[in-house]
Amino acid sequence: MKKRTLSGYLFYIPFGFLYILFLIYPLIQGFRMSFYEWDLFSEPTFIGLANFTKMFNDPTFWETLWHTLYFVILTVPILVILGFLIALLLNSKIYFQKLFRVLFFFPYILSITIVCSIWVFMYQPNFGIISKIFQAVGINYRGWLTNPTTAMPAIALTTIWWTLGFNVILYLAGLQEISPSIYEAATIDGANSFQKTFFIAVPLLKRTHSLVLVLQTIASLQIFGQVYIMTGGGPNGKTRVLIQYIYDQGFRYFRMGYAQAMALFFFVIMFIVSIVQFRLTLGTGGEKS
Amino acid sequence: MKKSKLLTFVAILIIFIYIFPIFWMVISSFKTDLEVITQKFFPSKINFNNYKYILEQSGVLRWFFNSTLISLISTFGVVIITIFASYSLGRLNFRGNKFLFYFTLAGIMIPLQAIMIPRYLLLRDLNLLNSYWGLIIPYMINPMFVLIVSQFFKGIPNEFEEAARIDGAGELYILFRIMVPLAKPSLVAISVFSFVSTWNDFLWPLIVMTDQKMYTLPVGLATFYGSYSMKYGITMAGNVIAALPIFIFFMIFQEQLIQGLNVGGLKE
Repeated sequence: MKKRTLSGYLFYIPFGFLYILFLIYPLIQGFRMSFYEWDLFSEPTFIGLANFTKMFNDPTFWETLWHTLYFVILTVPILVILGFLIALLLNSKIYFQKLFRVLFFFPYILSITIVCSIWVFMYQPNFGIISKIFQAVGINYRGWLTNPTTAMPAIALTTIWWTLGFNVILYLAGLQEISPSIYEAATIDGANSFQKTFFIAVPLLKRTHSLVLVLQTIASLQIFGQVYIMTGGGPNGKTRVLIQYIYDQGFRYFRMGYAQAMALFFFVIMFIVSIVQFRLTLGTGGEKS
Repeated sequence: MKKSKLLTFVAILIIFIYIFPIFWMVISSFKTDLEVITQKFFPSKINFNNYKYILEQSGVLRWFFNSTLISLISTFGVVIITIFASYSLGRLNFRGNKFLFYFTLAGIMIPLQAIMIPRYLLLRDLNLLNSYWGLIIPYMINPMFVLIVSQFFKGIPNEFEEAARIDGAGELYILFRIMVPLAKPSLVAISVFSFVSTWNDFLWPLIVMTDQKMYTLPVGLATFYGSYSMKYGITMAGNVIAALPIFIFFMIFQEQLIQGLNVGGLKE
């Protein structure tokens, strides 16, 4: 192929320019900001590593980090396992297969505000349908979002409902790549469907499992909107997550440097997880393929 | 091939539970406040008062307009910019191509949350806060899209291009008359995905838009619900209105959307 240096650069410029302006530059700027104290109104003051020492000594920071992690623990395993099981069901020989897939995927494309307000409505203490269903089986409990013990699990359940369809789609794609002849051979050898699932589908989907796991972890670590809309971080900050803390420190209290120090910490965590994702999606010579 | 009735039954049962919240949203939107509070399952009659209220009294229509405008323009922009950049990375053999590939790849590792504050300050300096462009322009760059489409371009056999070059076709002709039609599946997938994710984005418009008139639908509804916290009939009617276009869009493009998700393993 002839070298086409000029058009190569020219065609990349519109993207490259905006990419540097809106992603690379803010990243560098953010790094710089984390060494300053700045309230947006007065001049920034260089304070060295003070923001970071403050962060490591800030109990709220650790608390929000723990809440984020707790959310990851609550959502990731369920979303991965349930995603796999539902995909198995929707991939088996059933009627209305296509319709079911569409229905299952639909909540995923609803906006976060819609999803959260439906669930806030259903969790509503006095006339919410969820309390009513529990009453019907003899459990009188109403504090879904107001009790610190159930608030985060309630947000997690909403999120599971909202995003499960995405994992189902990834698993369905993986399942469809398994050649039917493998199943046929197993059937001839006398394997039942349970064995076929656990000795064929589970190991052959190794790559899909890890991809879903990593993508789900990345998505769950970014939790913000659900908490912001459903509880505002309450009761008593018991559902406040890291991104919300950064958001509050930055945009409500204008502690720009401190917020950015925490954002940088978040970036490092995400960077580590992203490297894993990168190896899974584009690694192993994927660039060449 | 025998289809299983038992598994179909299990699937129907699960889907029924799964879809229930959406069903509940729709029927609740027709209820009066009294019917909501007294926990009546079905409304005694279908009344459109909640819808009427939403359309007449609130800013919903304006937010709807904002969301549509922003989603359409940024989707158009991201597709054009992505086509050029991915063609450059995927098909043009030039010095520095490899470097630009890895440079682009690095972008997928930068989460918006980590740079939201400096990016907000940048937009402030550029005087783009509380403006449509402040949302649209940053949406127009997506390193993941560039990587997906450039992989697609790479997979197109050389014969197509060579034949056109022998006929003396220029770079732009080859790109738009040969490459773009061939890469259509990936381009449709990123457009659909871009539209849906822009339409639904919450964090970025929350930061950029300060004037209530400039809110997008998700941000506007979130504040709206805050002030109508007990009016669940109205809230649900607002939800239905906000969900309807995305539902229609989804029905038309669901195959491309699903395909798009599979191509990139994209997730918000």
